[in-house]
Amino acid sequence: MNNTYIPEEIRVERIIRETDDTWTFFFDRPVNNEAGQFLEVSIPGYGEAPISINSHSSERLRLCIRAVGNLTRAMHRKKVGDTIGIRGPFGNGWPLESSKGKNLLIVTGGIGLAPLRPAIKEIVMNRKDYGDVVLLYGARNPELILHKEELSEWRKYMKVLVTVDYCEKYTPDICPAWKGDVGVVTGLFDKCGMDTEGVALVCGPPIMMKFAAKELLSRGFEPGNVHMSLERHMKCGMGMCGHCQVGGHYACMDGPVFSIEELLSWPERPEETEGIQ
Amino acid sequence: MPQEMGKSQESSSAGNSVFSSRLMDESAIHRLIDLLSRERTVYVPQGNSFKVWDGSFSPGERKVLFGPKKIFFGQKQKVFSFDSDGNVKDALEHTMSAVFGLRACDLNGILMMDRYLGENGEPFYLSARENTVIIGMTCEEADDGCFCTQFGGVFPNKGGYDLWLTHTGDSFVVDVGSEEGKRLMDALEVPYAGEDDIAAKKKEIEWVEGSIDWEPLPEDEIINAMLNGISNPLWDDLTERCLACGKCNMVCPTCHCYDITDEVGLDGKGERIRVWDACHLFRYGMVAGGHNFRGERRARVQYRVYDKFYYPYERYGVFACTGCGRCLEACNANIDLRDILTRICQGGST
Repeated sequence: MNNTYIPEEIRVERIIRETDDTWTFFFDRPVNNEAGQFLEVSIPGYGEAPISINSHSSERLRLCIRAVGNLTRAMHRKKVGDTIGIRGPFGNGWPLESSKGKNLLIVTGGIGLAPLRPAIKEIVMNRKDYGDVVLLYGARNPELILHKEELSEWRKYMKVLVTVDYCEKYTPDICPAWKGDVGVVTGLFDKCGMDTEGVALVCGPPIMMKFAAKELLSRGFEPGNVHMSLERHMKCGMGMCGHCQVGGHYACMDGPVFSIEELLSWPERPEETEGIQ
Repeated sequence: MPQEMGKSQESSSAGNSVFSSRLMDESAIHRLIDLLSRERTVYVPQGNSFKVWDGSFSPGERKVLFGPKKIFFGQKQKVFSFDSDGNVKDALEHTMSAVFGLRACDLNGILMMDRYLGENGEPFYLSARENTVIIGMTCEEADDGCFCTQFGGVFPNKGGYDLWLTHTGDSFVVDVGSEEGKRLMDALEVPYAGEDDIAAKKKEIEWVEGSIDWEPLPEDEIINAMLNGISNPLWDDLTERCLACGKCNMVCPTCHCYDITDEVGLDGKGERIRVWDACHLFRYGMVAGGHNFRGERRARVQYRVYDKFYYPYERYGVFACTGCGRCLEACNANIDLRDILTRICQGGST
């Protein structure tokens, strides 16, 4: 019988500062993951936290981590050459296989882009398997835009629209550096030419997912075609500790990706679906 | 040890195990505990909880407030230790144990834990489960809050034990539920029970169950009521009354939530701990950054009841309640699951 709480060691090879509080860590080997899965990251003395995998399985492991809790702050003190512990991967991942041949709309906000990066990589690597692809990404301000270089790269393969929520000094007339849209990500819906018969993948803060979900359904998306990755504090990752349970389902094991159709069938409605009929 | 995880053992007939029943007196019980204690740590009910047998023991008449959950699922379990360089040392050890004197509600709780923890491979639980002999007893008296007749009654007809004792007059009729149970009985040369003894056992079970003041509700009625009951005004009332203290979680034989946390000394050495947690507590649904997915007390009150009477039924086809009444006994607000079930089954806007 294995003690499944014991993490495997993995070494930090490179660190990129995406923003002041969000860094991407590159490790010395790949993990065999699906796009949308997560790991439990462990640093003895600081505990564990569930972190989405930022890399495609063909790449060495990447984790894009914002320093908001104990573990993630401890993570930001790690240097190249240090080791951390990982358990996983856990969870189900994005429904990329069943979305083949369809048009895709990807809606992300803030660090929600991180768990979608491996899905975007997968689409880019197998571009002919998918129809039209639109990526909508909202950040709070231009300085907080993640994966900036790759966003430009991805424009070759899909329509990419980026907006920033709000920040006066960045509006185009005051700060010429930002010439893009200003406003919440749902504000891009009118501009992107979406196909409501297609599949939508949504990941971001709960409030963003709530508004995105409502808006997508009101525009005619089928609840079964809108998939959201639920953020919860998965403590064990193995469907036991209970912390990620919502509506009787374990986000760590049955999710974290669920269709709105599934979410609406639960007696306890997840916060992300509030306001839908 | 008594059976394969999560699967109930078929009995040859209701109330009888596949092995022949035996008959013990109280002195034989003491010999049995003595025999077990040579190879195992033996837990017996003492006061309000299970404690390591210290030579004295008298079989009680009813359940104790703190059941045997902690023997299989330690309240605070070290999962590994680490040094100041972060080198990890596995803490998984296999200890031979026996638990004596648990009740049908306790055993039902263990069978539910087999699903929650066993099926997902919780290593400490599986180790305890595989290395623990289970010897249960039929309650001789029901507590005020007992309603186990809703979930199978005072005798475990579906098995899951090594030995099960029912007090009849001066003797204990012993149902033998496993090879290990049989081995223990053979080692002590315990005589077989006669037809009369078995009849007396059944009569005793019927008598105790008859004393429980609860008319079982049909399962599908509960499920339908739960499915349609999310807006029942009952939840407003419970939200007002519940103190969100988590005591019901602690005493519940099927509550299995836990936290994983590190305890570190000033020297940098420490332990990773798996510790009981409670879905009623405010910070249970909180994520890093402070967002709380169940910050509303109503959501927490509702969740625990749904996680007993609806969600486990969807996932496993059973209720995660054993009718032990411990949550009522522990509750400072006198919240009674029987009352909740009755009101939710009445439905609508009362």
